[in-house]
Amino acid sequence: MVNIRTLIVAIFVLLSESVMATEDLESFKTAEHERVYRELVAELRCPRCQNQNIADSNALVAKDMRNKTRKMVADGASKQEVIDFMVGRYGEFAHYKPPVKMSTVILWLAPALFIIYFLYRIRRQSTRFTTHGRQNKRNEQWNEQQELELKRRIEELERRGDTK
Amino acid sequence: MTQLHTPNKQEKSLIIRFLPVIFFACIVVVFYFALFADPFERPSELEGRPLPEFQLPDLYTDGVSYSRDSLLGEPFLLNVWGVWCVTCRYELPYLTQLKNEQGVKIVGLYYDQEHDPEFGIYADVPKIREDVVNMLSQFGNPYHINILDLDRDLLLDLAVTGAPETYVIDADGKILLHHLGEVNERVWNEKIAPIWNQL
Repeated sequence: MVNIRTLIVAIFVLLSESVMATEDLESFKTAEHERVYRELVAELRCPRCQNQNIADSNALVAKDMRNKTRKMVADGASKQEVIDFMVGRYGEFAHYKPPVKMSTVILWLAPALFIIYFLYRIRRQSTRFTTHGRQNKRNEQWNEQQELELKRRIEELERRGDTK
Repeated sequence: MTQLHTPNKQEKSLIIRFLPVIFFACIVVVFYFALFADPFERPSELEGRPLPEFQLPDLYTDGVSYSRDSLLGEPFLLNVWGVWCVTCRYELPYLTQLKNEQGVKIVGLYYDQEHDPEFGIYADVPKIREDVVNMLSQFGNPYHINILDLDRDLLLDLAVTGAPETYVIDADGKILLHHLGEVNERVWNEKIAPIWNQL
């Protein structure tokens, strides 16, 4: 029962999205314009809302931004020109793909650093617990510390031998 | 030599072991501040830029229109408002007080939500005028003039997200401040007056 209900809800959700997407698209002459428009309304962020793109928002400002986007695209503006227009007014806030700058570089670096850090952890853990690694560690300890101790004792014995 | 190095190594591994905890603590601090941050308190792109060019009609009188140049010459507040805007009702009495007591020149930019020619919906201007007169007689009229931007083109150029919003504009038409939300005594004293009093 629950599964069927979930399925029905899922179908309705899928259908509603396709209906919403076609609402604004009638005026486009070329498929290319339509594609650019679709990308833009998904990428531009409603400045009035809490984390919604302008395609999903019913706020008046989002509607006006969609209208402006449609007009600009129909007049032959490139995708970047529309983005520059909106960001020039509403700030970087209005675009979901922030540019790489000094203040935003951490957004790109952080995931990479995480992966490197955890790979390092995993490697350390795996070498620590294999017998091979343990054996190596013991040998190293023997070589470094006890070798010195051994040399020292030999020298001491030799010195004693000299004094005799 | 080797014995001196071993505790250092342990310290290092201790830091590495606690790195996730340190990272988690950092996230908690960031989220704590984000929780209480006002999402509309963000730097405006408009500040420091000139008031955009426009040519728009007077709210009350047909045939009278304003442009950027016709507003310049002395500093003023540009106040975006509408009769539908609830916060504006709380703001109007205070703005009227500013006009009467401190002689602040306030230009109204009327924000209409209905007008949408693309979908065949046209604003009823006589009705807007009637509503405006009613509302201003009830809450006070702080406006030197009122500009009607039915197509919301200037509103888009000014990056308006809603109403009320207020801009401080100097005599040369430069936008010095873009405030989102209500202007009240606290906002005036803390945010607007320090800029306004230097003009």
